Amino acid sequence: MGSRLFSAWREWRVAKWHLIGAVLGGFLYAGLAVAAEDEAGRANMAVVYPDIGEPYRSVFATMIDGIEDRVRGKVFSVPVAMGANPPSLPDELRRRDVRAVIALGRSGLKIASGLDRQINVVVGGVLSVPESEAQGMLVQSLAPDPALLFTKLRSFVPAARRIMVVYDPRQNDWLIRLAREAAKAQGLELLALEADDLKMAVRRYQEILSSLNPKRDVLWLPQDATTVEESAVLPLVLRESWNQNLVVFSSNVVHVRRGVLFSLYPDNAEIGRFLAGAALASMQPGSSPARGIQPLKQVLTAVNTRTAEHLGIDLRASPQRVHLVFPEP
Amino acid sequence: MSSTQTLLPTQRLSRFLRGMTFQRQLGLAMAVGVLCLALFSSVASAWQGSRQVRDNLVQQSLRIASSLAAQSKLALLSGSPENVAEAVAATLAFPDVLRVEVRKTDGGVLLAKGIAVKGQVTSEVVPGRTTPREPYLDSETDEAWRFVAPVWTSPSETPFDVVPPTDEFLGHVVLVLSKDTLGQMVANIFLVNMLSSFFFSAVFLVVIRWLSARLTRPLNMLSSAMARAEQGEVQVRTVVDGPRDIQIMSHAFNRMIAALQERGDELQSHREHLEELVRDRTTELQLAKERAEVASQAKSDFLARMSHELRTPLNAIMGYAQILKMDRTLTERQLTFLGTIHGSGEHLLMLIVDILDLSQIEAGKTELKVSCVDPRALATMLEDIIRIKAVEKQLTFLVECDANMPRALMIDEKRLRQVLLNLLSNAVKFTQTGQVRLSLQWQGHDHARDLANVRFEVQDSGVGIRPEDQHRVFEPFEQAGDATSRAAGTGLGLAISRQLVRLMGGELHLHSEVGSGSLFWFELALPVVDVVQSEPAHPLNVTGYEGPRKRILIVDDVPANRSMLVELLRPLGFQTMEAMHGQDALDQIPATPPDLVLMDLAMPVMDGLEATRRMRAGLAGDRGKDLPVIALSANASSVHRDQALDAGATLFMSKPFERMALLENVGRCLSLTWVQQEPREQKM
Repeated sequence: MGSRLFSAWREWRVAKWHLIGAVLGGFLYAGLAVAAEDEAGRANMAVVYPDIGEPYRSVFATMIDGIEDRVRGKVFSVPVAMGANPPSLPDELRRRDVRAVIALGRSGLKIASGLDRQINVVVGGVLSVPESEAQGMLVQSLAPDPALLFTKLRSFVPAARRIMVVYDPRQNDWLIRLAREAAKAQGLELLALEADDLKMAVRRYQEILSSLNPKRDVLWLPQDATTVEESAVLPLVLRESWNQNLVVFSSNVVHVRRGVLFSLYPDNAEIGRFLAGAALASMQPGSSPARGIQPLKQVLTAVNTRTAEHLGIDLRASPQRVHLVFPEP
Repeated sequence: MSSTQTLLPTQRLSRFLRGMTFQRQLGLAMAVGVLCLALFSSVASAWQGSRQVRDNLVQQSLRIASSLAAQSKLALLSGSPENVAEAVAATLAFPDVLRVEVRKTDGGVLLAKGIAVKGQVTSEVVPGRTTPREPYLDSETDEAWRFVAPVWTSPSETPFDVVPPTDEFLGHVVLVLSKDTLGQMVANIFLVNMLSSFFFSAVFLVVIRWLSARLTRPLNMLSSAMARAEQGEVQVRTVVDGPRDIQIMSHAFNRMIAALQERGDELQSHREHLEELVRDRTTELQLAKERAEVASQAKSDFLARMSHELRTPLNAIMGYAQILKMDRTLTERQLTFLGTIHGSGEHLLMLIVDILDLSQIEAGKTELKVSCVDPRALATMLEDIIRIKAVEKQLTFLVECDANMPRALMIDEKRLRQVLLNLLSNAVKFTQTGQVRLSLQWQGHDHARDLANVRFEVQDSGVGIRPEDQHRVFEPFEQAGDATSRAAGTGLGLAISRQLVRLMGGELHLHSEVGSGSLFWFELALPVVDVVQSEPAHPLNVTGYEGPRKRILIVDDVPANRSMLVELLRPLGFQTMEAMHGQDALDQIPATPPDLVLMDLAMPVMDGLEATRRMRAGLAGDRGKDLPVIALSANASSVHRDQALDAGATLFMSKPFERMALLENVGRCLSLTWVQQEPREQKM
């Protein structure tokens, strides 16, 4: 039996190397064609990103990894300190004949917005951009696509019918528009309440919390600096939702740790790849690169099992893939 | 102002401390020091502690306010005090929290709990750029603190926000805290520090006292031992105890006392030995002195006896020589022989007199007989005497007397004359050619004592005296020069002269150079008198007397002496009677009363003194009571003179005597008027 196992193992080894050779050969062939394209693109591409400490450094580093993974090589990366605007950068970009810049974060966006219009700019690593600024460039927001969120919601909480959200229109008007469409597409009702300041937001939340029906209503906490205040409002919402068995989901993964049911969070490497692809595409002659702000589609899923348990939701019943689970085991 | 009040503080302190023992001073210094230290450290630590406690309390209060501010956000956002009521109640539960207020942005009170505190200044927090973000101490009174914690929203900013979120001022929280705890803690710290400091101070003082007692006890013992040693106690020892230094002192003291005792014993032994030695020596000296006195007495007696014994025959020799000289039938050659006999007798007599003089001077028995003397007359007399001898040697003899010399001086003329005659005789004797000079110089007058300083000089141009001999010439029986150059003489002259000059208060000096002559000089401080009672001497050459014949009783045990006197007196017309001793005289006087008695003193059976006394006592009849008696004695001392005069003698004469002297005395006693004739010789 042992000898048979051994001969089987030897056959498997021989077969494995054949398989690997065939796969690598296939990749090599396909890769050579893409590589030629990437070689040219890599040379004319630059990444401008914030020179910032952890934990954000890792986020941007992962994005750059994704970019370089997409272009199959190192790109000209320019770290920019917060608030800085190096005057020599435009010359350097010209000298390098850079035709596409991937701007990451607020600093990157600010640098890129001042660049020559001939240079295609793809923005990532920002939450939202005023629509006036986003006209001339492709902005990949870190705000998860509401459609994906609602898909997850429906998967985890099939009973959910109405989604309530309090938002600051100055920040998330574009997102709410998308959300309305997505909700409508998925047969959900979206009750979006505007709040210009925190006090208004609190009142909105108090109204919501006092009037909702936990069995069909859910609360969505978007990435909104005005309405989602973490020291006072979040505890209030979480406390009340806990008390009322209200399902709360968020666009911020941190909130999952604090007690919301689930959240979608960015897949940074994938974002990088996407941005690199968009930049490469923008450099293609005759192409018309996409413009405007786009919600994040490269997302991962985080859930809070304790909250789910409290709410009586069986996450395992959902076919949705979960990438992060809180509380951490 | 009293002296005490004028003292400086340091002097007062010094005086105060001087009256205290070492132990007390140490204790006092330590007590004061420790007390100051305790007070200072207590105050300092209480102050430092209070600062720390205060800082801690303030920090704690700021944290409480900050915490409450964080918890007040929702209440301020929602405007519902209920959202913060719990937190406010919890805050009030903190110790010392008197009051909590949650105020809105307009300053209006959302919630206020606790007691109102008077005196607290309420400052409003107005939102703006300068609005503080952190809690702060708003105001402070003696009783309480007032903390204010602004309440702001705290949106988290990320690099993903293109537009940074703005924070929002919501209101503020006021926290009023009592300072009771602070005061209590400060008081506790001070109290604990003080108590612990005093406790350790007390322990420290006890230890110091114990240590100082250990130090002072042996010191006191040492001091006591020293006091006992000072009072004369011999076997004093101190106990060696206490610290090492004191032990060393005690050892040193004991060793010192032992050494002192040893020395004292040694000294005592020496003293006893010395006393014994002194006793022995004293005894020996006493014996020696007694022997010396005996010897001296024996010498004096011997000299006196010898003098007497020599004078007695000499008296006869000279007397007869003089008697013979009066014989006009003698040839020139016989007269020359008689002159030689008389001269030899005189020399012998001078020798005897000198020996006796020196003996008496050295024995201290010589007394000066001071009388009024005219120095010029003295000089003249000396000139008369010496000039003859000088002329004989063809020497120039000069006499100088200072013109300022007083007319009369009080001095023993005989002794002064003796000294000057001796010096002049020597000068003439040792000068072959040249001159001899006598000088009397007035050196000044001591008005205070009315004394005249007179310098007497005798100078010659003789051979001089060698320097090595100059000190010897004043010694008895010494003459300068070698045997061949010595002149005739007793060798006693200068010795006697020096003694006499000293007796008169001066010192005889000599200045001499060989070949240039000698100068003898002395200075005397002599009393000055106004009148000089000069008694001109008239040399007599008596051949008889006027008036009735007088009877003279000659009492002498020596027949030769009696015969000599008989021979002397009878040619002058006197009747003579002879007695062999005193008793014989006493027997004869009543039968044939004489007019005068010449009484020898040293006689067998009854001496002259006793005979005289008996005469005066009337044992020789009434006539004997006032009968003139001239005592004659070979003993020339003043003692014999006094004895004779005391016994009742009218006059005293020492043998041998000059004829004229005897005749003068006889004439004075019998009130005779002498019949005189030109003498053949100046002197007999």
